[in-house]
Amino acid sequence: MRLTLPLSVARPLIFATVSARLIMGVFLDMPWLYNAGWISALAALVLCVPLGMLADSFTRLSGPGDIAGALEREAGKAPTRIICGALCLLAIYETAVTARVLSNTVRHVALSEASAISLLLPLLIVAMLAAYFNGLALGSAARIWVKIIPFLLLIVILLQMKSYHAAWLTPVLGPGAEVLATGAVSASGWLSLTAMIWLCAEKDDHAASLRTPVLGPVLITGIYCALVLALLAMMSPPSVRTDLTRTYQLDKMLANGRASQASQLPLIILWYNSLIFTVSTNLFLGAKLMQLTIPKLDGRLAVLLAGVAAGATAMFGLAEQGTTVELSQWLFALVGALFAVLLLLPVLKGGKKACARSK
Amino acid sequence: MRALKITALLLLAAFLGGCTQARQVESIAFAIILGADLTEEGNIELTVQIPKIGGKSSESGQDQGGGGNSDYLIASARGATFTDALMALEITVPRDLSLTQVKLMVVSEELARHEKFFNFAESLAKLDQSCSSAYLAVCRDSAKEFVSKQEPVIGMRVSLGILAMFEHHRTRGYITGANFADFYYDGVSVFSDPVAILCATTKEGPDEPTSESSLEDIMPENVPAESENENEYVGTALFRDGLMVGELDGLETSLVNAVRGAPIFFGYSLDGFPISLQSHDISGLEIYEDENGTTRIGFTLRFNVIADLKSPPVEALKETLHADLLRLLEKCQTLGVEPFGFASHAATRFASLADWLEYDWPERFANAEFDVDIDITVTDT
Repeated sequence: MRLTLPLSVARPLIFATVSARLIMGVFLDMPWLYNAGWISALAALVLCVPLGMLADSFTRLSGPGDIAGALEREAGKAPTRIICGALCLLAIYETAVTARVLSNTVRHVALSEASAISLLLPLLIVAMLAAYFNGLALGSAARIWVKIIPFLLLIVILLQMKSYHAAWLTPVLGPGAEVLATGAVSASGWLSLTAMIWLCAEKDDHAASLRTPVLGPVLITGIYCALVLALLAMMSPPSVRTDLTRTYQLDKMLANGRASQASQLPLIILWYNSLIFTVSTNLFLGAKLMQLTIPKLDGRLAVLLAGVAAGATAMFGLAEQGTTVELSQWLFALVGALFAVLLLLPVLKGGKKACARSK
Repeated sequence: MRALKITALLLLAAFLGGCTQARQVESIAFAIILGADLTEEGNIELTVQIPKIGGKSSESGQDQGGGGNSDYLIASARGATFTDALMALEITVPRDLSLTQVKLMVVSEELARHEKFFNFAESLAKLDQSCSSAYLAVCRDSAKEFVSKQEPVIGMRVSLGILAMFEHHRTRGYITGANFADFYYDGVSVFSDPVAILCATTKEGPDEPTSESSLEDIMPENVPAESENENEYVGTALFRDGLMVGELDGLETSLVNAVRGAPIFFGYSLDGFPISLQSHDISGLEIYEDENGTTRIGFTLRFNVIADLKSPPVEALKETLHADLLRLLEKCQTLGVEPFGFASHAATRFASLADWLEYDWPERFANAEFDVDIDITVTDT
């Protein structure tokens, strides 16, 4: 079985997946950005623009077929596969991190004292099943989900309207420019995961007409996240004098005490589904990148291996908040460097035509 | 074959789901009121009021001074900290204790003024079972006694009765609408100081009112009234740095609410002339430093006055309200508390939180001067 992801459905998948990862990272895992997290998200967007433009240029120049295949032809098999292998590990790690947050949410909302394994296992099985249905199914589901998001968000905004307090967005720079810059680097790492989805995609007929298959979704995702983070910031003043644990932040996001109880259901649906998409997509990417590294590997086995690896990683401290945030500081540099190597290798190898059209 | 595999996988997932450990409502004890006291030994005593499933059929014999209210279980437990007391409470309550439906948290004044209070609030805020939407009240005497006296006096369940009661009090303006989330978020932020509702259990109020004005000097323990309901809620408890440092009477609370922008209706007495006031937020709020470096806070407080039988003396009313407001502002300055919400407005001038902290708002507010104006519109209805 070959895992495939048409580029035309990769766009909604990017939005559904990366937006949840970015909001999760900035709001839950970097609470020290206080009420200025939205600025970090916008700055991350700026940082990711060159990556998006580069990916778009390559997509335009390359012919139909999979992006990774085109890169392999231009940059060489060995470097492409090594880089795909590294990105596969990253995708599996991201699956574990998101699954961990999803299980934290389940535990928080359901007030269940269930063990981590009993919370993680069903989630990963569902994600494996989704990945098994292949990229078209996943992307098409994301396309539907992306159309539902604005309605749910509108309901939440209307229900919480009275609780928003614009003055809480000030002082605008919150913890200071330096901290926000560090936050922006981490946020750009999460936003740059867009490139991983692009790498796993294949140009199809619908995608050929798209001008910005990568930059467009990056811009929309970044702006959407900044907006959501600003709305969350307007719900309460910056909590400067307390330890900001993930549970505390989750409670602030999902319940808050101020908001109407009725607003929790659409909010929870929004959060849950977005996280489930993120887990499923990351797992699919892990499997797909594994298949790109080892082309003879069956897609079903790749999904299973990626799921088992993600589950094992999620059970260890590696997927916990502290480690995730530490690593996130280097994520953009890592993803950027790997893609820079991939995209610049053809240029370094010589020739003016970096990305020849495949026949 | 593929469909069979997927079906098998889905069935397997159902067996592994966290929801298989679903808890039935009957197996959970939902507390609706949580009380907290400081014992003589300096420990925390928690008291909960829990509706009994099946009404008056007492099931555990735990009813401790429930005031004859057999529909509700009153249980108390003590511990060195909130967490210890909660664990002890979980032992004595014969179900899984859940605080998610708590509508009211009552803390004794003794605890609110004690250094243990901030840790208590912190523990509550960080609790897995979020109860942050509950109203927060500070009780004059024992919170345990207060919790046991809280009864559904007008034909409702306590849980709904509390919400209806607070809605009534809040629109009248003599309590703040503060829930625990408001209180805690204000407490851990660097803006205005948190407030809580003031309450007390009083069997009988004073025979005569303590002042000419309907709300002036009215505190929960001296409401000149009696009813089956012995728990009274009037006034505000003021907090600074995690401790209660002062209190406001009914009239002062109404004015605080008006300045904070809450739309309230309250009765005001001007030399025996009854006036119905409706607050309309403040306008033109300006916070700046004058040429001497003194912080000046200027705003116009807007009211609507309903002329019931004859037109009220507007100018005299303005003067009296102005004087009352200045007295309130001075009182808060003396206590070093800023409950008006000015801080978040003042902070808009600063680039970062560090700059704002350096500005030292509490000190600035304590020495600020006010340019307050009262705007009154008279309407027929």
